[in-house]
Formats: sequence, C-alpha cells, structure tokens
Amino acid sequence: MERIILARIGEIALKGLNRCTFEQRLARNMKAALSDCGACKVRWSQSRYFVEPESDDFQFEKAMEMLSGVFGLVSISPAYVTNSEYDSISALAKEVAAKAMATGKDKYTFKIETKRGLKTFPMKSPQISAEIGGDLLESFGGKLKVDVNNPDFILYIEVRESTYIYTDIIEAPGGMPTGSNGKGCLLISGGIDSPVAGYMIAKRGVSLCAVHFYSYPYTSERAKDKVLELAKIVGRYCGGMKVFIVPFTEIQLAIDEKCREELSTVIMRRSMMRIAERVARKSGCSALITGESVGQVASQTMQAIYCTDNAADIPVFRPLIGMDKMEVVAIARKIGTFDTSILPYEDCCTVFTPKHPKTRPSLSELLEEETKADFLEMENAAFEGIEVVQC
Amino acid sequence: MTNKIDILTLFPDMVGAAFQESIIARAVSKGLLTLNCHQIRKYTTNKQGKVDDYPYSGGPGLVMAYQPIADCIRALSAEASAQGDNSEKPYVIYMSPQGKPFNQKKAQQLVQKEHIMILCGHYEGVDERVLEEFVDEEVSLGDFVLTGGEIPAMAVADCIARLIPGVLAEGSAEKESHTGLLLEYPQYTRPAEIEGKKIPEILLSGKHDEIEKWQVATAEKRTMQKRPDLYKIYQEEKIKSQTYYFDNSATTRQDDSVTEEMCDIVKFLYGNPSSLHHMGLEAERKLTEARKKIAETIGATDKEIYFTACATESNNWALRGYLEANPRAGKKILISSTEHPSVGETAAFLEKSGYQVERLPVNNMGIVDLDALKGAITADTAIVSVMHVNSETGAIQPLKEISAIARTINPNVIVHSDCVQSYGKIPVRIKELGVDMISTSAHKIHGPRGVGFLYIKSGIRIAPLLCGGGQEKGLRSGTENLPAIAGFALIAEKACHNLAENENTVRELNNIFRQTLQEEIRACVIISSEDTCPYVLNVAFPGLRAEVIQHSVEQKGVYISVGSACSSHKKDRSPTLTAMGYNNNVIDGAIRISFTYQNTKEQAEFAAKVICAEVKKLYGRRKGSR
Repeated sequence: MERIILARIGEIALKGLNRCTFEQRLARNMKAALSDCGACKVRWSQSRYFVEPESDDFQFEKAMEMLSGVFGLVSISPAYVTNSEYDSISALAKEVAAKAMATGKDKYTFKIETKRGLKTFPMKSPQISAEIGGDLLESFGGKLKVDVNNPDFILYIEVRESTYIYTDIIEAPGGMPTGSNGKGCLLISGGIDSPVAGYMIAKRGVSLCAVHFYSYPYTSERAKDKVLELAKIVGRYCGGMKVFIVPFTEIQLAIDEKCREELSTVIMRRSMMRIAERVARKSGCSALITGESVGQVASQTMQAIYCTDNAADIPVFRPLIGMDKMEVVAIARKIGTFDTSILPYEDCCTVFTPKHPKTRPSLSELLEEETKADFLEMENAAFEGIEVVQC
Repeated sequence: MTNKIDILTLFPDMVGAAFQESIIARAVSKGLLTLNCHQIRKYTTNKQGKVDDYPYSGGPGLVMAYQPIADCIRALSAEASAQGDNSEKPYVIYMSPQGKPFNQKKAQQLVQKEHIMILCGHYEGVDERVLEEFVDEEVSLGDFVLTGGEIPAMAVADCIARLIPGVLAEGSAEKESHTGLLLEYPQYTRPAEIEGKKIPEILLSGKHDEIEKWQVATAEKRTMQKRPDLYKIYQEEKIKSQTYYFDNSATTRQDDSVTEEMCDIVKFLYGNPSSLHHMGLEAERKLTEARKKIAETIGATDKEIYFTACATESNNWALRGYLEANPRAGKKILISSTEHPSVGETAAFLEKSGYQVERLPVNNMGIVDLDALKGAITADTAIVSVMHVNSETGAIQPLKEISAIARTINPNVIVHSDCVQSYGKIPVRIKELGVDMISTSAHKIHGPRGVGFLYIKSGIRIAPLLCGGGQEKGLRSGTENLPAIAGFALIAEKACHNLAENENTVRELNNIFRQTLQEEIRACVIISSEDTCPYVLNVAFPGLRAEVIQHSVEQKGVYISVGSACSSHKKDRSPTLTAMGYNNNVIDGAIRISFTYQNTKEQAEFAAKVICAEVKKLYGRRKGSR
C-alpha cells in the first residue's frame, strides 16, 4: 500500500489574491522541516498538501512529528493512496479498515466519511460511504458494526484525481507559515514567559531573532547556555533564530551605583529596549517582542510598561499581555520550554532586584535619573560587544 | 652552550661537504663554532686499516670494532682537554634507531653541552661495549633504518648549530616550529597578490597585536590539523599554565599515573573477575591486590572493604543496610547537623519510615557538641553517623571521643563516619578512631570517578542495597569496576604513604591564602579556624555574593567554589554555616578554597592575589552592602 502524508491548512484558505505566496512559503517550510527525513515531494492542490515519499528510507514517523510543528498547518493524516476507481477504492478501504482493527478487540464499530473533490466521479459522497460501508460489513462479517455517533474508528475517503483513505487526524499548530509575516526581535531572559511570547508571535508567521542581556560575572555561563537552549527550542518552530548576546554588566553596575534603587528595574528595562531596538533595526526587524504581562511584577504595571515602551521607537508586541501565569505555563509545557526555563540559574532580571521597586514610576523622574549616567556611551559599548550565536 | 662538534665517521668527506656552504659555514668562519669530521679508520692499530669484523652471534653484516672507536674518542678528548678550551668532558652521542627520538626539545637540551661528539655507526652497528663505555646518549631520527649514521649526524649537527646564539639572525629561532610546541604559522613574502592569490588581509593592516593573535590562532589551527599529537601536548601545557584550580574538595584532576593504570586494564585486563577462565582469574587477582592495598591504608583487613560506586552509595548503604539487617538494634539515628546530604537525606528518608533522627548541634567552630551527644545516646540508639572532615569548613570532628562516648553509654551502638574529605588527606585509622563503618571516594584524591568503598568491620551484619550476581560477597552485586578500583588503590596507597608531607605542602598553600586575604581585605571573615583540616579554607566576604566572586575570579583562570559544590544545585543556604551561627550576610558571601598537594606555591600566590583584587573591585562597586 502506498502511503503519503496529507496536510490541511487553515487561515491561508481565507487569503485573497496573494494566497499563492503563503502557499509557496508553507511548502518551503514543510520541505525544510522534512529535510532530515529522506527524499520526498511536497505538492498542494485544493487546500490540501501532499507529502509523497520518493525513497524507501523515508522516515514516515519522524516526518509526521516534524510536520505536526509546522505553522500554517491545521492537521495532518497518514493516508493510503489508490486510483479513483470504485473497485480499487473498495479494496483499499478493506485493507485500511483491517489495519484499524488490529488493536486486539473482538468487535469494532465504524463510520465512513467521504469527500468527493472529483466531481466527475459517478457516485455522490453519501452514496460512496454507503456502498463502501456495505462492502466492509460484507467482508468482515460479524466483527464490524456501523455506529455513526460514537464509532471506534472513522474511515475517511477523499476522492480526488487519486483517492486517499485514512483513519487518523493529528492536530498541527495552525497559525501562519513562518516567514510570511516579516521579522521580529524577541527579548529573551531565560524565564518562562519570553520563550512563550516568541512562540506566540512565531505562530503568526513572524521570523525571529533574539536579544539576551548578559551580566557575567553576576550571572553565570550556565544562565547563558540556558537561554541558548531555549532559543533552540523556540527556533524549532520558526526555522531557527540568531541570538544577540549583549554584555550588560557595565550598564547594570552603573544603574546600581548611580540611580535611585526603587527605579532601577525600569531604568534597566528602558536601556534594554534601546539596545534591542538597535539590534532590531540592524537585523531587519519591524518590532520588538517581550514576555510582559500586565501586573505580573513591579516593572510590568501599566505605568511601568508605559515608561518602558516609551524608550523604543518601534512597536513593542507583548503577546502574553492578558494572560495569567498558569496559562503561560501551560503553553510553555506544550512547546517544551518549561523544563529548561525553570532551571535555577540567576538571570539578568533577578540579580539587581531592588527591595522595594516603585510600581508607579513617572516618565519625567525616569528621564531625570537617566541623566546621572552616560547611557548613550555605555549602550554604544554594549552594542559593539555583542556576540552572535545561531540557534 | 655548544662551541665544538666532532663527528666521528668512516666517511668524513661526505659529512664535511654538507657544512661547506650557507649558514653553518658562515658560523664556522665567524668562529662561533668549531666543526670537525674525523676518520675513525686513522686510529686502527692493524696494518690493513680494518675497522670491522663478523659478529659473534653469526648472521649477516659486519660490526664496527671497539679498538679504533675507543682510541679515536680518547684521542679527541685528550686533545680537547690539552687545549683547555672546555671545562666539560665531551658529550658523546651515538646515532641509532634504538635511541631517544630527536626533536626540537632534545636539540635545546643538547645545545647546552659545550663539546659534542657524534659517533656515526655503519654496517650492522658498533660493538656493544663501545656504547657501554663511551656513549652518553643514543639518539634516533625516527623509526627507520639507514645505511649509516652520517646523514642523521648531519641533521643533528645542523639543528644544534642553528640554536647557537649569533648563528641565526636574532629572534628567528624563537618563534619557530616546535619551540613553543606549535607548528609555525603560514608565511608569505612579496608581492601581496600573485596570480589572483592574495595574502590574508590582516598582514597588511599594520596592527601588530592583531597580527600576533592571528599568528597564534593559525599556528594552533595548523597544529591541530596536521599534528594532533603535538596539539594535545600543547593544549595540556596551555591548560596547566593558565588554570589555578582550588576546588579540590569538589573533585580533583585524575592523576596521570591513575589514567595510565586504568588504560592498561581497559586494554589488556578486561576479563570479568567473576569469569572462571584465565582472563577472569587475572582480573580477580588484580581486584584482590587492590582490595589489600586499600585495606592497608586504613588498618583494616581486605575482607572488610566493599567497593561501591561513590561515597553517596556508601553512605546510603551504611545507614539503610545496617538498619534493615538489624531491626532490633534500635529506632534512633544520631547524625551531626552538618552532614553531607548523602547522610542527611538518607536519615530523612529513614525518618519517614519510622526511625527517630536526632541532629546533633555544633559549636561555632563546627564541632559536634559532645555534651549533647552524651544526652542524646540511649539504649535505643542504633547508629551514630558523624562525618570526619566537614566539606565546607574543614572542621575535624573528634571521632575518637565520639565513638568512645557513644560506646560507654550504649555498647551496642554502631559508629559510621563519612570520610570523603579526610581519607588520603589526614590519617584515617579505623582502630584509633573506633569506628565501625567508613565511606570514602576516589575522585577527591586524584583517583577516578565512579568508585569508592565502604569499610564494614567484620562481624557487623548489613543488608545489600543491590541484589544480583553476588559480587563483593553478595553484598554489593554488579560487575566490579576494575579499572577504577585499581586506579583508586594506586592513588590511595600513594596518598596515604605521603600524608605528612602532603599535609605540610597544603598547609603552606592554605596559609598563603589566609595571610593574603586577611591582610588585604579588612572585611573578610575566616570561617575555617587554624586547627581545621588544611585542605579546606572557608572565607566569607560579608555583603558580597559568593557566586559573583566565583565568576569574577574564574575569568582569570582561578577556580574556587561557593560553599559546598554539592549544595550548589540548590538555592538553600549552607546548613553547616547556619549551624555554626553565621548570619545570612556572611553565608551568602562565603567561598570555599580547597587544596591538593599538586597545587604549587606560585599558583596559590597568584590565585590569592586575584581573589583580593576582584573582591576589592566588587566591594568598591556596591552601594552599601545589600
């Protein structure tokens, strides 16, 4: 039996005249995801993508797993193929049903759902379902029964120029194909939130690069490795990302020495924003992305976010803005960043934490504090000292 | 420095011709070097001028005879001493494939000799008695055979001659292949571009620092690719010279002798000691030998030594195994409040299953309160476990007193001690300490990871943690880790043999840190008192964070640790320092410097300075002491 992977798209189908650019992008991303699985062909027609193995060593299971992480796909199915003749369809249906019935039960219930894309096929969809169902009942005898409400398995038949039969539909992440929506620059700290923020925005088809602020020796090399590991995990969803590691120790020390303690966190975040903006502009990003959520910590109150936002001249997207920690944790677990995020290494945000940060800073007092140190020069130096790692 | 090279040969013209030209000829004419070739045949006493004869053992070829060579060497030596130029007697080298490999390092050694004689063999070689009587060193150019020693002698003479000062333009012999263990970086000469091939841009930049960096980088890369063997040595030397490792209570660098021993066993003695065939027997013999050696180090018999995978296993086994095998021994466990987690957590585990655990307090020196011990021991106490040397502070517990007190009150009590930080460092003699069980680990004393032992006094019943094939008398199943066990025995024997000497070395290093830190940093709190084990020094810098100090000094190649390495996985504060009554401000700034006798005084001085400098910097940068 010839086996292929059938993949379905979601939102792309709603696109208008530029739909083909999205389709081409998705096909390219799928090919990239499948690059280690062996030779195969990726083609699409009528809102369906077909992955057809072209060699014997094609790793089918691995390919399924890879595709289930590709943005733009809604679901995928391993499907069997035959030509669109009634007898062939009936024969293949029997084989696929026999496979579905190999789980060790005595009796199975089933139903058939047919889609007929090939309008020249002489029977209509309900009629195909009924006829094939009859064939199956006949050949499996008492072992099989129809149950349209709660069947053990559903046999899906798609009659197109060829006919595809399958029983499983595996969920894929949805969203838009990566790279179809420009590029963003993620501020990544090593905590739980920022990788999730990166994932959320990547899901909308945005390519990513990331900026990390590194305060060695106040944070450890392990903290840096942890960030790179997180970037690698998020990178799996968006075709990899470059991480810009900014040496931030001098700036933090200067803030600690010269500025008012209760404002230090927001001043630090403003400086981060300015440096991130430079990185963003240099690497062709049109927005910054952060993992902030309203009210989560003192520097994420509405007023603090207003002050932080003010430091950057490009849009700052905060995909987690209205989410609770528990919701974020659930996504972090799903995308596989949680276990890495909770490793106990200090990150840049926690080392210099003031005892009583001001939750309602005003922009004017911040601007005044910022005159106490030469931020421009320090930020120039930090920008010069950036280390780039491809994840 | 060499000023005279005599080459003794049967073919002086062939050798002489090589030095008629170029650099060596100029050196001779400038008087930097006297280079002469001498015909051995001239010194024969027979009329035929015969220099060789058939070998006694038969076989093909001829052997150069003793007499002409002996007379030639004697005559030349006498001549040299008559001239009175050189104070040393000539250094005689014989060129032979069985000699030591000749390389740049060897050349640098040889150039230190004033007068060198190179004897060139021919045919099947020379009479062995020549070698015994006259030759100082046999030297080989490589693992191949030539018709005579003349060509190698030319190479050796050339190589030595160019190292003589003045022979080459100044500096050109220094940055060269092999001298610094690296191959030479690529060389280019004018023009900068030829047939479309450009030289690396950096060479035209005029930035000397950058060019030097480029030279080192390309030399490293080249060596790595072309001579991985050399690169390995280079890397080892580089790491050695740039690493100041003072975290030896966490783990130590495995001694090279241990690595060699282990490799030999892995390669040749790989039989399973349980196998009945000869290879198994050989392995079993090695195991028995190791067990005996180890037993001797603590004054036990070999039947009382049980090899385990680590001290953590030993500690777990001692407590759990004893209580399981002796359910009626009592329901109470006494431990100190400063135990390593492998004892502390095991006790906590037993506590959950119904045992009563009492944690003895310590005084401000970290020493167990003996009065508290007296009060705590009852007839229901099954086991007392107190570590010998504390891993964080080096405090030495009075094990002798502890076991005596325990036994006076309850003669049936078992005393166990975690000796990980004392074994191989200070005397651990079980009879003197009065202990019934001790745990140790190899990797704290330059042995391999993955091996330790539990000493169990004979007569004590203990249940196994691991059941299976019945190794270690059925008490610790699992195929014996013979390479590691043999490595452990080797290093343990060495360490225990040199206890006093090593301790003196380490005490000196310890004092360097104590003095430097106390003198330079007023705020510093020396937590380890003078009478603690000198292998550990705990010092606190109140107001700083130990982790930050650690990262600051590691940039200079100095490695120390924060509290105890085993507790760095957790964010909790050190229970030992808390138990000693220090406040959080001190505990958070406490670092542990731990030593080995393999550390040098220079390393200690450098590291102490680095710590002072970085700590001062950090103090200078902090507002207040938050």
